[in-house]
Amino acid sequence: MDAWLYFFRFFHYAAALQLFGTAVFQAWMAPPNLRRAMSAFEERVALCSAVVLLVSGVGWLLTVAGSMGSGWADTINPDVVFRVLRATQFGQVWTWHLAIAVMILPATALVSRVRMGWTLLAILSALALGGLGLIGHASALDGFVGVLNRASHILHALSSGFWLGSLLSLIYVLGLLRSSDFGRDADMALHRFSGLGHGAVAIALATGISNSWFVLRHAELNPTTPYQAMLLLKILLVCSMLVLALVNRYVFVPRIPNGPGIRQLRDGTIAEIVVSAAILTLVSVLGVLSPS
Amino acid sequence: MTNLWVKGYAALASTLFVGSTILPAYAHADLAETVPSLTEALTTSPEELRLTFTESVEIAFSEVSIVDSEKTEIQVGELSLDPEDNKTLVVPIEVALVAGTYTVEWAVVSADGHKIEGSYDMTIAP
Ligand SMILES: [Cu+2]
Repeated sequence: MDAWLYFFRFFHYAAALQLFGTAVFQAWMAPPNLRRAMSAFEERVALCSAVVLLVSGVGWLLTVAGSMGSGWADTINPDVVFRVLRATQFGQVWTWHLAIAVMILPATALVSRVRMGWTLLAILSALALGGLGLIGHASALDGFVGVLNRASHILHALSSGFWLGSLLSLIYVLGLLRSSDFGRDADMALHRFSGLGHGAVAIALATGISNSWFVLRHAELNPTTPYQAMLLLKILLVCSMLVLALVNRYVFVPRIPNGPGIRQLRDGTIAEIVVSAAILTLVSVLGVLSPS
Repeated sequence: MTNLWVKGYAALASTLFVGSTILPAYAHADLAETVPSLTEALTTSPEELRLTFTESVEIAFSEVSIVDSEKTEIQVGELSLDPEDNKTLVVPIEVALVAGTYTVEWAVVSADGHKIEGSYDMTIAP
């Protein structure tokens, strides 16, 4: 049962990050002409993510019902599933969360047909992604510190979502950099992303450190426990993400005008996507394990 | 602009740091305290058990059972949360327990949504 929970968590986090990053990129990074040029691609990405978000969100709920109840039979026992939704903290958050995931589907389908469609989708997906900071160990504490801890988890989700969720759009933009129609806009989007990216990375790191601190402050530090070993691995992967991002920005970007910068930046960005998938895998498991 | 980022970042980091230093540690939740306590020598049947956990518990997914040394389950009343403290589960005992050793088995879902379970022994000797 835990394995299924890891599975749904991974796809749910991935879909929420991708959706948020894509919508933010289209709404605020890309100038109007570029937005139109990228629209067909970005809409397909958003629609896939929206479907995965909803399906994995329901799967997550059913698996939780099984684990809170008494096993597999309870994953499809309506009494237990509704008891989870109505009578637990997780369920109260998840009711809203799934309602938002349902609203995201039509918002994604209509995104380029309504004015401000991408802005609306960015807001909805921010709610979906932020909502993930209100469950699990983030919600274990009451009172003021509980609020602080939740806020830190929400910020962590949103800033990492901006960073990781934009990488795919970035690769697409790199392909347009030499185009005579969209080159200037692509360049502008790249620079906007890199400017805000510094802030997002800083917030993601600060909140990541504080979240780990919240969890482990009194625990005996022992990297042979599964939780701490995986957290350590996550930290190492985050460090390599950071190195990749810095190399991309300060080594490869300056080489773009006449050199091999575009190809190198594309490879570097693909590497970032691979590492972030590994990080997400760890996150999917970490939220279920006991910290000590 | 950069300066603003640095200041905001420093403010955020220090708030979170201060916040985190006044926190208890958390693993998954666990049983913290019971009434009657684990060491108390009981001479008569208690009227209720109180189980206090390290996190609030979801009453909808809480179960407590008492079994005697013959493994027969003793009927308990309906569980409730202490109205003043959502970390404490109250278990009414409706049929007085006779002298002997009993095992209290509990399984609850804590605020983080995780299921935890355990058991402890309780002896009544008049
Ligand atoms: Cu837990």
